[in-house]
Amino acid sequence: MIDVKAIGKGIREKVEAVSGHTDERSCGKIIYSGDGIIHIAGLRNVKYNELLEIRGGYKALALNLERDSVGAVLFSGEDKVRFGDLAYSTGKTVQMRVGEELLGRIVDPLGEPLDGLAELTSQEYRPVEYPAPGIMDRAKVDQPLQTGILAIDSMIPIGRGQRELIIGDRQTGKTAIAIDTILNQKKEDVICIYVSIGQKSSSLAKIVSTLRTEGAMEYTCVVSSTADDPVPLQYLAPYSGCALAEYFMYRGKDVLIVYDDLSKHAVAYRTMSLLLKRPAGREAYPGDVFYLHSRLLERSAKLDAAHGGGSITALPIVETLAGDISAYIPTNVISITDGQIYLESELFNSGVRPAVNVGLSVSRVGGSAQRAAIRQISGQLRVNLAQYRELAIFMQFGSDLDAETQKTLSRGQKMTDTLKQRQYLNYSVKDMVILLAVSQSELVDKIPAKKMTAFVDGLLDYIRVNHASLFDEIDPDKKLTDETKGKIFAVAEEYIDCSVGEGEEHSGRDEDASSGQEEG
Amino acid sequence: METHEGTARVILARRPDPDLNKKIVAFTQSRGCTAVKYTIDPKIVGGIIIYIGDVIYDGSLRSRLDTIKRSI
Repeated sequence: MIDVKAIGKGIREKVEAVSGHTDERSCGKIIYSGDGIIHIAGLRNVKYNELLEIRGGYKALALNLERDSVGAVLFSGEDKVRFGDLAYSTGKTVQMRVGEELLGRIVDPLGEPLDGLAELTSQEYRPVEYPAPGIMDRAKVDQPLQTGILAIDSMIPIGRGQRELIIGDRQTGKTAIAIDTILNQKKEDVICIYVSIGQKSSSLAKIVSTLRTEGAMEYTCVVSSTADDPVPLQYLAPYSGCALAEYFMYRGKDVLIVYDDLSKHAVAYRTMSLLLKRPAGREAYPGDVFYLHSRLLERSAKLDAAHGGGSITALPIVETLAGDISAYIPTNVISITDGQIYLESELFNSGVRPAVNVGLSVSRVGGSAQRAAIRQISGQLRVNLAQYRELAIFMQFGSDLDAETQKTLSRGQKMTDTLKQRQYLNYSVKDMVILLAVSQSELVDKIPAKKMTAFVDGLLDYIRVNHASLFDEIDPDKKLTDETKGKIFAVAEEYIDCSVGEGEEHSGRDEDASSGQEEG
Repeated sequence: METHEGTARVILARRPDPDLNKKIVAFTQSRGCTAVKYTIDPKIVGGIIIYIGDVIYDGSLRSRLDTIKRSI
């Protein structure tokens, strides 16, 4: 039943709040309106980036302050604003609603809920544009942010407070990596913010439903601007998301923020700039498109203990066209971030998923944040894989191979197979230690080439069922002792013997691995 | 803007009585205006709107009703 009395009371409260005050405000008249851009004459004392209000309750952002007029972009009411309407200055910059209650919610870049759930009551706001923490406020990045993806955590480790770019063509699994990372923060006490910038509503709906079903929405907030939202909202979305992230960071929390994606953000800004008649530069982007992203990503930081020790880890995503990482926006963002994860469609199509190109991907600061055990056993991984790839390319010319080369090739292939990982399947640190140790040992020579993937899938389950105590012995923060290593190898060997068998005749039969598990 | 320097533009729903007129003149003079130009506009329903330069003093019933409409 609808409580009529409560509604009446609510209305009365709102009416009482309104009556009584007379505004004294600076105002001007709209002398141009088109494509979401308005020009206002007669408005004095307006600051750059100030929020303007148009009669009728529509909001706009002042971006061009000229001699005779103010150029502004409309957040709403593009088709309702008329010539001659009054525009007021508000004396405020754009603010984003913040607070714990935003977790689990989908909001627009101004902090208004979009998910049809309860109204947000938080009256706490943060300015959308905010200076990045200074040098003295920062601490060294020394804590890992586990993505749960073996290829990344072993070779391109990400630390809390780092900015790691995910770059690649369309359909190479960029968002998948970001989502997997969010899902992996479930037990890590990391707050996640997913900022969608100019995405398709259908893709965003899919992402949200994934986060919901996997139980990740509890600690996640989605800041949404889809492709049909006004361009200024798309421009604003990452800054709003960052303002929310800062709220948590300054309270000592660790935050992960995903900007999906910054190439669309640059396009939104280009649209606004061109309509505001700002001079166009390379690829028609305005001159400050570098600053656009650098000031955003600089706000990611690891604060020192005196400032609460919180952090913002940023995973910006940039889409390339035909693998061209030397285009304008990709080079900009590559140079701003502390490393990049480069995804290739060729790898993706040949079944290497996540399609990380290990050669071109780097992490400039995460190495010191890596857990000791992982660092110890993945030290040689990158070099070995590089050697394998070089050899593999050379071997395409075809010739007889000596035993040693054959071994290197087969091990490299098996290593690559180990790094393949299904979406939504996250490894714990201990899982990774085991997989990395086993896949780099001589044991893999016993596994038929085609069975490597099945072996990797089955091994962890086998250990969980039959040798659960092994997990207790692994301390990710200490170097792996020879004794523990020996135990891991022994268990792996046991599993190889019972699942793979002796000869090649079993290879290709998938049920082999699972039946082996049951027997053991 | 039609209002030139020194002139205050006042919008009312009805013609002002002398008492109100005195108040308006005092108010505008205190803000540096030498003249007052009245406009009668029933659309504002009640109250008063005063423009001085680019500053607006909006005490109209219309704008309050609009605010109420938006907040509900």
